[in-house]
Amino acid sequence: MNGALLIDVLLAAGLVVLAGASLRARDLFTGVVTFMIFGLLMSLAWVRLAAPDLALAEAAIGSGITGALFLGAMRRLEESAPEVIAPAPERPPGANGRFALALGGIPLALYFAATALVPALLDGPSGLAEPVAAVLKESGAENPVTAIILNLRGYDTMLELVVLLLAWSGVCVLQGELGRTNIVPATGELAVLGAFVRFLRFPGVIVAGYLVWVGGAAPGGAFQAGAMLGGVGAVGLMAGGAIRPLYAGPGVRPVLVAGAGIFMIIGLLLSITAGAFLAYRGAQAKTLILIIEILSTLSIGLVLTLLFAACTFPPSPERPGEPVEGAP
Amino acid sequence: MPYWFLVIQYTLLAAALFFFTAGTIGILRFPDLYARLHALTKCDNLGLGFVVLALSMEALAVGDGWLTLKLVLIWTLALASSATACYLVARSGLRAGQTPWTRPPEPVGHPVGHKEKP
Repeated sequence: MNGALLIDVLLAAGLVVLAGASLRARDLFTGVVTFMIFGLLMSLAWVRLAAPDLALAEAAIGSGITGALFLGAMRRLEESAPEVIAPAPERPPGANGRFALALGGIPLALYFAATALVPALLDGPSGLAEPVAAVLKESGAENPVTAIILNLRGYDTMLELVVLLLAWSGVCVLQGELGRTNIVPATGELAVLGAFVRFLRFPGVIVAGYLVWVGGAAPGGAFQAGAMLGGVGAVGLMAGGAIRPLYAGPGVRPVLVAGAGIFMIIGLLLSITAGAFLAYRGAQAKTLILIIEILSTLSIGLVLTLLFAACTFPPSPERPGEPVEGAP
Repeated sequence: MPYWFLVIQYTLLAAALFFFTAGTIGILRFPDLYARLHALTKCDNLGLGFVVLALSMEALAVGDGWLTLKLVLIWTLALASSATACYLVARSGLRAGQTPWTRPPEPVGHPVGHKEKP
C-alpha cells in the first residue's frame, strides 16, 4: 500500500467516524466540536481531491464560521432553553456500532454497486473542465473556479449574497437590529483576547485582501476572504466592543447590501448595453469581477460578523423608550 | 540539491515529527486540562515551527521568497492563536472549577511484613 493511498483511506475513515460521532454525540457541545473537526478533515479531503478552492471555503466557512455560529447559539441556549442542550440519555450497547456500520457501509455499497453496474462512471468524461477552459480567456479570470462563480454562473453567486442578506433580515425580525444590541464591553480579564485581536487585525485584513486578489488566478475569492473578515470580526466581538463602529455605525446598511447591490447594478447595466444580464466578456470582465469581489467580501465579512453577534449576545434595548422587536 | 541540504531538511522534519508525536501522546496521557494544553501548544509552536523551517528551506532553494514569507506568516498566526486559545481554555477551565492536578502524596508505606495491630 503506498503512502498516499494510506492517507486517503485514513482520511475517509476519519470522516465517517467523525460524522457519526457528531450526529450521535450525547451533548450538543461535543457534537459541535466534532462537527468542526469534521470540517477540517473535510477540507483536507478536498485538498487530496485537488480542489483547493473548496478546501479553503470548507475550512473558513464550513468549519470556522459555522462552528463559531453554533457555539454562539449554544451559549444563548444555555440561558434560554437549558433542556435543549442537556445531554441525551445513554444509548443501548451496540447501537453506536450499528449506526457506524450503516453510516460507512451504505455509501461503500452504493459505490461498489454503481461502479459494477455502470463501469463508465470510473472513466467517464471529466465534467465541465473542457467547456470552461474553452471560454476561460473571455471570462476575465484565469482561475476556472472564479470564472464559473463570477462569470458563467454569476447569478448564482449574486443570489447567494441575497441569501446572506435574507438571513440577516430574519435575525433582525426575530430580535431587532444589532444597533440596539448591547455588546459586552471589554474587561480587563479579556485583555489577552483584546491584544490578540489588535495583533490579528492587520494580517487578517491583508490576508483577506490577498485572497480576493489572488482569486482571479488561483484558489481564493470573495467568500473565503469574507469568511476571514468575519472571523476577525467574531474574535473582535468576543474581546469586547473594540470594533463597535464597524457594526453599529451609519455605514452598516450600505456595506451589507454592497455585494448584492453592485452585482445587480452591473448586471442591469450590462443587460442594457450588452443585451444580457451580467454578460461581461473580455477586457472589462476582469475589472468588473474585481469590483464585485471586493464589495462582496466586505458584505460577507460584515454579515458573518453580525450573525455571530446576534447568535452570541442577547438583545437588550440600547436607546431607552424604543421597543426591541422579539425581546421577551 | 546538495546532500547536506536534504540532511538538514530531514532532521528538521524529524524534529517536527517528534514534537507532534510527543504532543499527541501528552494530550492522550496527561492527567488534567492544563497539562494537556501544555502538550498541545508544543505541537503548534515547535512541531509546526520545524515543518515551516523545513518547507522554507525548500522554498528558498527554488528561489520563491514570497512562499517563505507566507509560510512564516502562517506560523506566526498559528503561534499567536495557539497562545491565546490556550490561555482562554485554561481560564475558562479554572473558572469552571477544574483544579490543577497535583501528584498524589507518596503512600506512607509500612515495612514489608509488618502487620498493624488491631
